Amino acid sequence: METNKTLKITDLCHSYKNGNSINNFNLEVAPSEVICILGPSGCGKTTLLRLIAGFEDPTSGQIEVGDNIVFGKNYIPTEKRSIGMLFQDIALFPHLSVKNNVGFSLSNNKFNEKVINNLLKKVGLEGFSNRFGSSMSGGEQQRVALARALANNPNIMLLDEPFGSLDAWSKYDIAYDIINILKESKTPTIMVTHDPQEAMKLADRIVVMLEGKIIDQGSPINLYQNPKHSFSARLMGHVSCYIYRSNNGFINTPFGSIKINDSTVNNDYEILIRPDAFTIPKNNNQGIDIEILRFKYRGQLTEIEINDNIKGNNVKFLIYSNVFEELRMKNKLLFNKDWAFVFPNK
Amino acid sequence: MISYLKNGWALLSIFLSLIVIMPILTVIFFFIIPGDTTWIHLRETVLTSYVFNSIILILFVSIGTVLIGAINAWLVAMYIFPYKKYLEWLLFMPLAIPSYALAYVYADLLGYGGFITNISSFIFDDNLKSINFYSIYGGIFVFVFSLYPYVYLLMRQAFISQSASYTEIAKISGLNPLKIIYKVSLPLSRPALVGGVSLVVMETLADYGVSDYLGINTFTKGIYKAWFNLGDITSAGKLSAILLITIAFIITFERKLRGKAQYNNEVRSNKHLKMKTLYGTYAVIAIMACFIPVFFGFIIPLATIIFWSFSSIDIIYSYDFISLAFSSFGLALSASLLCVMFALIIVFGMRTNSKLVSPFARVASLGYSIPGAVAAIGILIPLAWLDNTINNISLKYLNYSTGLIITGSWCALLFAYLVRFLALSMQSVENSFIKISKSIDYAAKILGKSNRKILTNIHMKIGWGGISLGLLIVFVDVLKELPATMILRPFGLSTLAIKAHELAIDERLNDAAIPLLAIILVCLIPLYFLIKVIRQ
Repeated sequence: METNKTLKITDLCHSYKNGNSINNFNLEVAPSEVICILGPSGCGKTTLLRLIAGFEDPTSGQIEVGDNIVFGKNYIPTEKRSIGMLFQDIALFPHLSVKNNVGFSLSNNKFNEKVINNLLKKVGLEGFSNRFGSSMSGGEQQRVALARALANNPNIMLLDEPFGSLDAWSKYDIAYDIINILKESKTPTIMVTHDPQEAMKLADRIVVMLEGKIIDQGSPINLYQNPKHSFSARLMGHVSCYIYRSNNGFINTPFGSIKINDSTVNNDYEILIRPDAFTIPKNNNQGIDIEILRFKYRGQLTEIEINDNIKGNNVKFLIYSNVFEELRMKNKLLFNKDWAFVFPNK
Repeated sequence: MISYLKNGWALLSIFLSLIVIMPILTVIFFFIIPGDTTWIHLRETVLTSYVFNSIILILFVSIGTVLIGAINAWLVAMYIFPYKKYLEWLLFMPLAIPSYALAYVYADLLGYGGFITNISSFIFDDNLKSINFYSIYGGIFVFVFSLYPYVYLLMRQAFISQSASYTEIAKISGLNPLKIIYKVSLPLSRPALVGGVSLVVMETLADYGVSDYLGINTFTKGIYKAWFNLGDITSAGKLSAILLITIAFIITFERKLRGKAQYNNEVRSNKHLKMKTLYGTYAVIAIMACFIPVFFGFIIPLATIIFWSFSSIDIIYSYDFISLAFSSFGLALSASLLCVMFALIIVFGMRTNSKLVSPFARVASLGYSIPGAVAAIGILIPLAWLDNTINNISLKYLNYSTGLIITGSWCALLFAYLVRFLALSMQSVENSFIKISKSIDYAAKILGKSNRKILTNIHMKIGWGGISLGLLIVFVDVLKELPATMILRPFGLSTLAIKAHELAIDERLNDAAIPLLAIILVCLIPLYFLIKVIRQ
């Protein structure tokens, strides 16, 4: 029978002694979907996983795993929630062989070589069944942990920074493999990470958390192009940041003025501009004149300092280094306002 | 809240902790109830001498153990000298010999007609007066040479793990070597020093055998006397309460000091101090400094006891010795199994719900600092009440008197050992469980295993080393224990320790040797493991 592999979280709240850690949290995850929860440490992302797993209980709200309400109107303890989980420290049972780790959750009648070998084959570790975790690399161990989690055919999969302890150069090979295997098995996956790069590369949808709340969510490209919060704008890629005061519905910047919706009151605004905003104009009539005072090469990007004619001091901004090479010759830039994100300054 | 209620394991842990806490509370209760005439008499006559003797003993024993323990720890941690690799470990050996055995040995050697007295009168051709070892000075000597390893153990660890960066900074700042010790190394190892000294103080306060044998009126002896000679449980309880509260003060004080000294390991560096090699006179001084405590604390007592045992070797075949060994080992084994079982449940309970269980577990482990005599008094009261209640119910409904079925049985004695030694087994179990990542629990849980299965199939298997060490440590401590066993033992039951003590009191030291030797040999086993662990 095909099981319903979904997760639905409704109005979830949780608090510690020193305040709320999860605040009115709502989330639905579809089969095969990979969601990355991204946020700084202490934002509640790990707590969220612990609540879903049942290691801790929310103060209110509801969690549904597949067809079952596991918290809310009904309560199902961790061991019966049908959840798989990968941990940062991998947590293979050190006293058990690979075979016994993978078969850990299987009842005696389900535990046989064929099942184990199939699972090991799936994660690319055929022939490892009699080895022990201590003789394997971190990536291999994490694959065993995946096979162990999949043995139960879980309804959802929780990944608690599972690639954080792996070597930087092999990390993504293993990560792509693991995500693909999970997608093939149609298991919805929630992965917690503090690394935006990882989230961008692996997620179908990124959920940005700050102080226990979702402040932004969307596909990686969506979050990069259209962040709803200055925090997620900064998180998803490089930005140059400024604070300017609005003037009758417009904000004047050294690169041109930006229209805002509120023209009644003049307020301070935070303006974040991606390097993508700056290109070299095709002909010389277009664009703004740029007089470079100083510059600093930073690899893919270059930081440029120019005179801010609005505030009267110097201002720095980031552009792509290949654009910079042309800029040095032409001293003119085209500014695309779509890449400038404006948020009220708090 | 839901998981609190559904977590039967945490509730079980709390329940078990409460069982152990109960006698502690009973003793504290004695502090507030009014005393009768015996108490007033005791208070007006001997209480001052109990307090005075205990304070003198603690003060000088602390000074002595710190001097020996810290100096040797410093030598071993900072210098290389001939025979160091043996002396470094031999310095731990006095831990295998019960303090009271040292008291018997030295009282005999220094007494009239004793080996040392004879030699000195032979050399000086003079009928030298025997040294009166039966005094508080004798007590101080015994405790210093039997307890200094606690200070040595902790200080050595502290000096060795001290990061070299601190001393290097001090050197760069222009401090000379002596100033570096005084201004940097010592303050940094203060928590270890205080920890070691408080262990020494607690052991001294808990002692019964030494003070009884040497005739020093200390608190623990007072408790025992009040109970056995005067038959006054209120006075015994009140003395216990005073001792317990004093110890609570010492523990709080130690925690306070420790709390402030948390800067201890701030620099996480693997760079340790570079050892200097000593030559010539300095090397000889270092060797002597390390050898003297081993000589007085281990070699002389062990040699003497072995010597005594030659003349009484045949008692091994007597029924008496075999039954003594049997009951001693039986008691020690059941107590250690009981303690480790409690420890496993409580420590695992702390893992499942630390917030809820930890406070209870911490209070329960205070039992270790309670002298055996105090624990015994704390147990006697609730058990006697339980016995009476059972008896009354039985009389009322069955018209049959059950008598005292729990008090004066093995149960009461095992309960006392549990109160006293649970902390030791908890510590060993905790140390081995702490190395098991929390994710392992979560992984097993999420894979559908119950708490009981996680404990038996994972934690007990991974942490087997620590669990067996816990068993061993409790085993030898029960083997050595005197006062609680004497107060609570069932009629007719004796142990190797009690027998040795009784024989020693009767001045039948040769006959006491075999039971003592049996205790020492068994004590060497956990010591071997302890040294092995430290070496790693």
